[in-house]
Amino acid sequence: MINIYSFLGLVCLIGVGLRLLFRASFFDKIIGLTMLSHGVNLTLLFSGSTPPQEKSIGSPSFLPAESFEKMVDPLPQALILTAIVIGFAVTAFMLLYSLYSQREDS
Amino acid sequence: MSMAILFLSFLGGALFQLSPANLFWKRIGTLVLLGIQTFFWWKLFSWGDVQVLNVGNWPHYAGIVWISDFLSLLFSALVIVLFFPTYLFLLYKKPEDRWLHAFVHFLAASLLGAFFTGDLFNLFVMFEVLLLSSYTFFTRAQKLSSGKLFIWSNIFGSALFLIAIAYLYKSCGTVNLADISVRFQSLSQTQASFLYWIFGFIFLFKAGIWPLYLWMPSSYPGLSPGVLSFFAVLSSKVGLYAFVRWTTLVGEGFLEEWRLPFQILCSLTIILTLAAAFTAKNLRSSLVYWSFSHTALMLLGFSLPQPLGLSGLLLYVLQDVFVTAALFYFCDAHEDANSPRQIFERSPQIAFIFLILSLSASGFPLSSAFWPKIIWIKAASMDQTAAFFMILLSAFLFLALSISIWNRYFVGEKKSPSGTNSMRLPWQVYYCLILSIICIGLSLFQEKVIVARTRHILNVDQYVENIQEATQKLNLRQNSSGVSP
Repeated sequence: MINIYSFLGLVCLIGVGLRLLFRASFFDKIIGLTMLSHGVNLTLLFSGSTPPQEKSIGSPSFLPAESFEKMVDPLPQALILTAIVIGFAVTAFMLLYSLYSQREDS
Repeated sequence: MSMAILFLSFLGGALFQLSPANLFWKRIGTLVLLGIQTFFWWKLFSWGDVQVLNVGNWPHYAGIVWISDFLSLLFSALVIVLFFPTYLFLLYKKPEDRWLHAFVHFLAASLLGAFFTGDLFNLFVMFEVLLLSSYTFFTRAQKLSSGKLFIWSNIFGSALFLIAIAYLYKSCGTVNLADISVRFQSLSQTQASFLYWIFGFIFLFKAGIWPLYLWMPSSYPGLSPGVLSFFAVLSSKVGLYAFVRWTTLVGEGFLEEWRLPFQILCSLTIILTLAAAFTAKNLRSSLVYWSFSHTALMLLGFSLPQPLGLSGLLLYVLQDVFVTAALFYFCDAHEDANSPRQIFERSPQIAFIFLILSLSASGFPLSSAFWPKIIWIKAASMDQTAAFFMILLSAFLFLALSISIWNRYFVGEKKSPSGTNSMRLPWQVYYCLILSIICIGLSLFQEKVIVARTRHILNVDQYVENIQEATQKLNLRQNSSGVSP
């Protein structure tokens, strides 16, 4: 469940991530990108912590006779897993791209 | 099984990467792959109606769903038809770029995936596959840093897309498009409107509407023509498709409410991109800017009363893809030609082909872009005076631009007799020209072919019912056999 500390953590991650993205240094940009993607993943995680999911997903076959009142909705976590993989691929690409781009400029 | 149309491109990309040097087998493999894809596409088309595939037998609310209807089939047909000339162009004209071939396959697969997907998160994944493939194209651009702004702005767009999905999931408890369209009705007006426009912003960003196309000037013109004619033509169409799908399912009312500001935004995009096209320094840049003004015109037409607005858009997008691709194929030949400003004197037939294509793109009477404009004018003549005048004005400006481009890059001054080489056109230009002529034929049967089908696309209840029915059948089957996915 989202509380003030987790919300502050989220704001810090996205805020600092965006600030670093706009700095000129290539290493700062990569760190900023990583922090931003963690912030976005945290946002996704918080989206699964409220009651409406019980009604929306009904009684899924993977959880017979269970409801989401006592457990966390698993769908946002599956989404986060995919987003982490994509974020990793983008970061790896950006590292290479920035390195080659700097070499071309120099 | 018929949704194999999606995965064959991924498979093709992976397999062809294993044999990067063998051009003959690549050609045969591509033809076989396209043959199978066309067969499956035709099967889906002939079944009609809305087809649903629940991947892994998961119900639509908990798994991945692929959906084919007329809208997705039309856009996917464009990918399959345009992939054929692009791939062969890259194979023979740009053999040094052979390591890009796999990424062209991945790009095609991601486009097909984006057109067939039934949920928003899967659409995000397909956007990312498309973007990652497109980032690699910029490594072969004339200058590596030309793609920097494109890449960083798209990373920002992707982050915003994910945050919007999180907010949507918190509000509606689902990412499935059919479920969203049902649950949107229970949201408050402010929340629903905010959600509609935040996703609208993301999709319009992909479509390149003003001021969100600012990443483009240094990036697209840097690409090679083979890639440009596929990627630049279709990547903005993904944004267009996503916006149309999103609006037809959840937001027709919101678009009506904000119609005038939206039309002003589209008009501004048309005027500014046309101004940039008039003043651009080379043919490639002019055509890139012009292609974005076409997209803005389609969005302007789409904002008109339905079903005429969407009918016009479907007819316009069909011909626009072929005509713009043909025009992009000219770039390479034009740049290779010695003294390209005097092509009219050396190869008048080629200069006339360009003129025919550009007049066709501008909507010259009886050309392929003329008929959808007639539909829009019919729709706007009722009570949309501003849109009516903007469509007319854009028609005149498009015509002036096509004449101006032809005059600047193909006729030129008669003084300098330096050029002697004749310009040679790739066969892909003729291929696209024939397809655009077929589009004129299609326009004559627009009432039967397009307008009737548009009513099906706008019937949201049918879309939702088909998906829910597929899940019910799945549950019944699983209950009777006692199997869980």
